[in-house]
Amino acid sequence: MSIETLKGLRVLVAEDEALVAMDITDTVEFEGAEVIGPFATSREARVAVDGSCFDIAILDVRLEDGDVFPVADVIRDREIPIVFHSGHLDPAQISNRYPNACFCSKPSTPEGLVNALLAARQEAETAG
Amino acid sequence: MDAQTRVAVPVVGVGASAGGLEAIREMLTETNIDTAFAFVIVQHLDPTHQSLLAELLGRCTSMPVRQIEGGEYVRPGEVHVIPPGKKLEILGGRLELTEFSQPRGLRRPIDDFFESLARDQGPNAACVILSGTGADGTTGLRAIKEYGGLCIAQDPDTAKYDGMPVSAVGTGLVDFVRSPSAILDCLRAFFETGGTDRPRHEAASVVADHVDDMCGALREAIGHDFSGYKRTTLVRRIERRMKVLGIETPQRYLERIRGSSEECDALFRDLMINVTRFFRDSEMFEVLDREVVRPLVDGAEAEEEIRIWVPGCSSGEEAYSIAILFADALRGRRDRPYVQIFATDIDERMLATAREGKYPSSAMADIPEDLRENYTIAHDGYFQMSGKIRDMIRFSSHSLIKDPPFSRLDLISCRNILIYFDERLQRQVFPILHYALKPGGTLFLGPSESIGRHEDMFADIDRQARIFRRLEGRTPYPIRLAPDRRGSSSPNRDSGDDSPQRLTEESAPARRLLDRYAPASVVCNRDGDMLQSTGRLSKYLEFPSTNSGRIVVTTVARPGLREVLPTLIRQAVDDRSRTIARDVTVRAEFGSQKLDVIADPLPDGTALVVFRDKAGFDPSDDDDMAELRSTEDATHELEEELRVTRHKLRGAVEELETANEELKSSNEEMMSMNEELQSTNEELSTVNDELKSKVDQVSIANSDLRNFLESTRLAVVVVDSDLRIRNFTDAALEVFPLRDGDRGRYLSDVASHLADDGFLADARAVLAGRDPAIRTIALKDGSRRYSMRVMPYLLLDGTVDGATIVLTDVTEVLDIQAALEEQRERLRLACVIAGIGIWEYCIDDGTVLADETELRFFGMEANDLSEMMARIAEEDRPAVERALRAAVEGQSDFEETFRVERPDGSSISLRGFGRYIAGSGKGRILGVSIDVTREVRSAEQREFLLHEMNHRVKNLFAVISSMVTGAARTASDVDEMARSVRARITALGNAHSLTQATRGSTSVMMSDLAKSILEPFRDGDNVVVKGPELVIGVEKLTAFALIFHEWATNATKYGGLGEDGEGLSLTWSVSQDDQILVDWRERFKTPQPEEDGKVKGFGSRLVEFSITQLRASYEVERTDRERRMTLAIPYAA
Repeated sequence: MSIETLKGLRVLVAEDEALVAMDITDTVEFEGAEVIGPFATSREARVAVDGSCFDIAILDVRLEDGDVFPVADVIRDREIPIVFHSGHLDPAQISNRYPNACFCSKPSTPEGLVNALLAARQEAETAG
Repeated sequence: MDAQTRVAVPVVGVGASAGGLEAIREMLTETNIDTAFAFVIVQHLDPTHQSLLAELLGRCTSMPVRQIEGGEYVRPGEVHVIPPGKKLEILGGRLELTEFSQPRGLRRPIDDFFESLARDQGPNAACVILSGTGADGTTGLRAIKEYGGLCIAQDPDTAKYDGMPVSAVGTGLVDFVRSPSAILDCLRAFFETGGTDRPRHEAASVVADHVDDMCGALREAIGHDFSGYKRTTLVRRIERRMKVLGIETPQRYLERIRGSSEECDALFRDLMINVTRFFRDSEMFEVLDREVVRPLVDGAEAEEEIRIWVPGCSSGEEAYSIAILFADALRGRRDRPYVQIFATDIDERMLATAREGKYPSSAMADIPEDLRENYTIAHDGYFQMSGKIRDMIRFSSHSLIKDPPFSRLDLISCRNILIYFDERLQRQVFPILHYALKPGGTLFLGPSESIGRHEDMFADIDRQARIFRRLEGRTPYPIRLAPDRRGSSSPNRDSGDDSPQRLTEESAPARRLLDRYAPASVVCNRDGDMLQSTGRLSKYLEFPSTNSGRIVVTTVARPGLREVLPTLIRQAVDDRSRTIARDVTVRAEFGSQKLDVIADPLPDGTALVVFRDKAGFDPSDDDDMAELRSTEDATHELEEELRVTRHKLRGAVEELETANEELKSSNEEMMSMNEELQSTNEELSTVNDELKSKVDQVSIANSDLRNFLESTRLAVVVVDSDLRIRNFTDAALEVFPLRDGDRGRYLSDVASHLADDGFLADARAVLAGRDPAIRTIALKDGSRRYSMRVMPYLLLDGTVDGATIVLTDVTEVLDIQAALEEQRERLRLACVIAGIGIWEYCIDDGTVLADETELRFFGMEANDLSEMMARIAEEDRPAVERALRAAVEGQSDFEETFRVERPDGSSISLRGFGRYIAGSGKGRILGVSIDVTREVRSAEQREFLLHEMNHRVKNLFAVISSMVTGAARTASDVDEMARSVRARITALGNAHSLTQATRGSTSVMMSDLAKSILEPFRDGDNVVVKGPELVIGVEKLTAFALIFHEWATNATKYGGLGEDGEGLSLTWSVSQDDQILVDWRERFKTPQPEEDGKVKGFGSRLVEFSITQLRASYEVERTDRERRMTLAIPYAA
């Protein structure tokens, strides 16, 4: 698959705000990718992570039932690229833990999100 | 008497000075050419001017008045006047003019002439002293008197100037005091009485017969015996007296003497005349000085005594002359011998004059010039002997012939006395003088005197000068001391023409008769001295083997006779009658003899003792022993007499010596007193200086005190122990209205301006000994307040002598103090109100001092630093400790906020501020703590809220962004899209603004939310919202808001809120299993179309996602008239 597009990718989305989740879904699907979720809680997300195959994840830091980091750790360990999508996140803090993750701050434009996804894939490629 | 040429008439010398002319004129007016006197006028005249005296006097008398030219004889019935500037003398009746030897001012023309006149004319002279100042003539008057002339003085009352007359009268020698006009009569009376016709010697002999009697009378009256005086002198003087009194016969005069003590006195006075002057016979004095005075002084050691006696000193000139010589010889000698001169006389009046030591200025001329200054003190008209000279002489009353003499003398100056004594008396006197002198002592006699027969006692030193040396050899003490008044008189007289009776006849037959046939006899005096004897006396008297010359009959008389004789003789002599002692038995060697003893007094005071045997000689038995007893009486008497005599003598000697000693010691006392006075003077001088400097110091101290008091403006009132005002300062007048005159008033009487009288009680208490009182006291009008101190006024010895009240104006101070107090209170209150705790951390001992607020903060009762620290929240403690340490080290102020957990579980937040304060030791941290709990909570809350807000806003943006993006994907009409998006955003915004932040979460009431969303769609009452109170968490808010907004929007298009709509109702409830059931019902009149189902509108997608977010289950029911949507939301989600 081409790195320059998201076509055919399977994207896991964790987002507790419904409209934002809707927006992300629209954006990803418009790009020709498939959305797994969106999941509003980290519990649900974790179940999905364990039971699904996917190529990349878009994770909101604050979910309904707490931080997403435990889930993020699992994803990272499976060497699946992550894009953190949050309103208040200090990248410096996160980059220690997730060196290959990318960030996209809320509110974001669709372009911004797509770029972040692509960047993350790129990152994964070069790292791997 | 000198040989003289007697003038036929008496020569009257007249002396006058100022005011004299008038007196002379008066006197002479009585005279005429026949007046049988020769007058010589000596008037004090200006030597530089011509005198008109003679001319003037010539007009008042018919007698010729002539100025003397010199050399003329004095003529009777003539007046001779002295010329100016010349000295007048009369010699042999001739008037001689010479030059004055004395300088002007010291001249004595009247004295000179009178003295010359006296010598020349003797009893034929008279002197008259008239008006004048000074004393000229007084000395001359004495000469006239001495030589037998008449002395008259003008009555001082009649004299224009009474000086001379008074001085003359003062001698006591003036015979008559008369007014000038009466003088002539007086002269006549004197010179014409007394019978100048009769031969002198006859007259004299008549007087001479009675002289003894007169002497006796005089002796009785005066106590002095003049019978030893030269007869001629005596007779002359007596005759003169008779002349003066106008008595013709001696008998009458004798009667007069016996009867009048005044006359005795006058006669005595006349007899005592002894003209004397300083350095009389000056050349003899020179020899005396050279030969006697100086050697004596040179040879004397320091402290040794040189004793001199001047008997018969009269008015003292002689004694003073000798004193001057000695004083001059002593001059310059550092350690001097002590010169003592005894000057004696029997004339008290003369002694008085001598003691005073004052003499007329004219007498100064007799004193050698070089001696005047040192030893005399000149005054006006007279001079006085200097004190040191007077101190050398002791004048005393003493009779040379009667009283015990002085003894141990170095020099006796006995001049012109012996000339008055007859031979017998002289013979008595010389042994006295010999006795009185020390061996080698000197006797100084007058020019007319000599040793005579007494060469065994005295040898010449200078015969010319009449200076003799006392020879060695003891003088038997002269017994010539008659204790009683009745002196003896020796019948032995050598004088000329008198022929005394003689007892024995020299013829041989007479002698034979006396020796053999007549009874034996002796002639003896009253004392028993045998003077003559006749016949054989061996039976009666036992003559001693050695013939010493003097035989005392009463001593040599044999027993039997011895007892009788003394009494017998005495009785006979005293009674002047023949006395017989009958039947006396005298025990002679070989037997006894009975006899009569007859004592027959002789005229001369002796007695003829006749032993008339009565029986034959009776030979004695052996048994006859002379018994001592019989001699007892006589011996006893003699011994008694002797004892008395000795006693008297001793007494006299003792008296003298005592007097001398006393004088010596008093002199020494004087000297030591003088020394003491000197040193006292020195001390006083020093003390004075000290005093002066002390006074200065006190002055300065006073001045300092005054200035000090003034400068401090202290109101001070000092009272004494009776509370009377003693003193006060000016400043005190503010409080007590005092005036200067109030000193002494009682303090309680003074109306003070003070509010109360407490100070009086305080003062009394302090006076009573209590401690000083301090109190605050205000003025009545309250304008000023004072700190009043009442202290005791202490003397140096600590006794309380009063009280001092000091008032210090403390009004300002008190005001400030009050203000300060107020401030402090306010501050305290502020602190309390503000909840500010104050603490103090003492670095030295690591303790803390917390006020009650601070303690309350920590929930503690007492200060306990470690406990306090423990209560600080653990997370904050390190910072607090660090900050505290930093403050202690002075690096920074302490400023920390920390939480305190209290034992009751509560906790507060404190903000502490502290600062290091240096002090004793390591210093302190002073700090405050403020309760900032609320602030902190608020802050925390705000933080939380902000955080929340931040999150929500971010989320909201994301939602809106998504909404816009989503809408843009499906919108065909941009305007429509914009409108619908805008509406949705507005709804969201409204919904979110309803949220209220409470502790821990943000929420909204369902009813508020529903109403808010549906509000824009309401029109009248077509919307019904109903449900129980239900809190919706913020996380559900967006979803509900979007859902309701969409459904409402749809309702306006195709539902209950549209054209055909009949309203909308939104209700909710909570199910039993905690689900929120939302019921949405729309009613419409006609059936509504559904939206295109195939293509989901954006709005419906929103709803879809929102429902998913809520995890709600959704159902919809449609009928023709109603659309109903229900949601079931799990509450917990």
